[in-house]
Amino acid sequence: MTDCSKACYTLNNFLKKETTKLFGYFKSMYRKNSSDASYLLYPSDWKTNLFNNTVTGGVSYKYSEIGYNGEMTAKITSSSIYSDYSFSPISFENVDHWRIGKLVWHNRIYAEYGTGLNRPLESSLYFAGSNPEDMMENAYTRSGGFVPRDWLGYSSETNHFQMGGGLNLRGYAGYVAPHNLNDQSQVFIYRGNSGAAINSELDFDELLRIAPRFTRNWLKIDSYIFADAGIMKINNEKKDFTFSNVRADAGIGFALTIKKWGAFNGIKPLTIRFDMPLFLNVPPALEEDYFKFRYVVGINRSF
Amino acid sequence: MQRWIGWDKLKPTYRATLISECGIGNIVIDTTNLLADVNKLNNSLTFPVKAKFDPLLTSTLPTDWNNYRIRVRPDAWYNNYDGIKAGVFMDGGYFNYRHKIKAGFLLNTGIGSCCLPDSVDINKHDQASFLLSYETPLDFINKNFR
Repeated sequence: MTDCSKACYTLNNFLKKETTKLFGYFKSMYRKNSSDASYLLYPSDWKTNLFNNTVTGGVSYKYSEIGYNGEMTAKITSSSIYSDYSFSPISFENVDHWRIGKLVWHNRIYAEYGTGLNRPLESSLYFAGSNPEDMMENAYTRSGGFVPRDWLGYSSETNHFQMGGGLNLRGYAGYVAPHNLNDQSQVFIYRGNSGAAINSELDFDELLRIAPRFTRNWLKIDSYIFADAGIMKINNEKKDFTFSNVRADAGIGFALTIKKWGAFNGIKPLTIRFDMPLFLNVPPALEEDYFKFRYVVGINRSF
Repeated sequence: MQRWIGWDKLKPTYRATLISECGIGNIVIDTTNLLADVNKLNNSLTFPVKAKFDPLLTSTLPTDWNNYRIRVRPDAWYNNYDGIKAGVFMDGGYFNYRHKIKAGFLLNTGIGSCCLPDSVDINKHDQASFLLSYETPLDFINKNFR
């Protein structure tokens, strides 16, 4: 058997496994006018009267052994027919969960490389969480009404709403994350084209069980410590591989999950996450302190 | 009718001619569920479908081998521009696996809309919202492709 046929044989067996899933889809997004943008949590991150049409293909593979399980996903997206944009990101994500006695350790590795002339803001890679395109997949973040408006937007300080995704450095939610270039100029890296991150959470709620009798059947409280670290590629004229310094956060978090909605069995569980990123290695200039009480609220676990 | 002995590519088709004075109500093959058939939706002349009103939102579609299953329920949602929305939602699928359809239609009342920027005209929200989704395995490409 030649190396090529070996590889094809291995690939064929890989694709035949029940735990392997190939997927592909076409997506078209269009906002006709400004009143369509009024629904959004981040209206300035969408442009109106432009088609954002993409084709995505990928493969995901679930694995499970005694003590751990996980899923890895590779995905490539490209702007497609009749799109007003031209961009193409490729990404890899691995999420695994390890049981260590009464602790559960969750890890996520994420890397994305994007090319193209004009990537839509809503589909960009965001440093602190998911991009507006991904927020459209969640009923609570698709449009306003559930998230206080004061918690949204980007500024020179951190804010309080964070949705899991992107590089997922939750401590930097709402912060423009300026990066100083050699020529003394400054760029904001809260969104970009390429980057990589590691996220980690250690659940300890089995050690410190919070389950009052009257809520036990319908409410679950997860408690965990977390740490995130990531880098973002700096866009410059040379188009070389220049990355930002590593930014990191760490803290403690709680996730409240409403498991049951009375007689309505079909309503999916809702998780409201309260994370306190007490440590930032590059805090905003206005905050100065590395250690400070900060909080972000999100829907669903961050990964 | 004559017995049909076929398997996979061996005699894949069967032709019979029947003359009925009172018309044909339905034609069904494998009436005793003898065959290990992965798709029984094409075993009869009429499409085998069962619909159910499901106001209490059962968690998943029934895994029915013999029928395509549809559930219909009232639906309501909210956002701060459309206000309270009300309408109907249906989902359907065969064995909760093939030809999975979701469809919803909601009328936007505008009641309860709030917290919008001053520049937004509160009466310019959409009159209705709809959702339509279809998902099925693409076995002819790869058995794990959908």
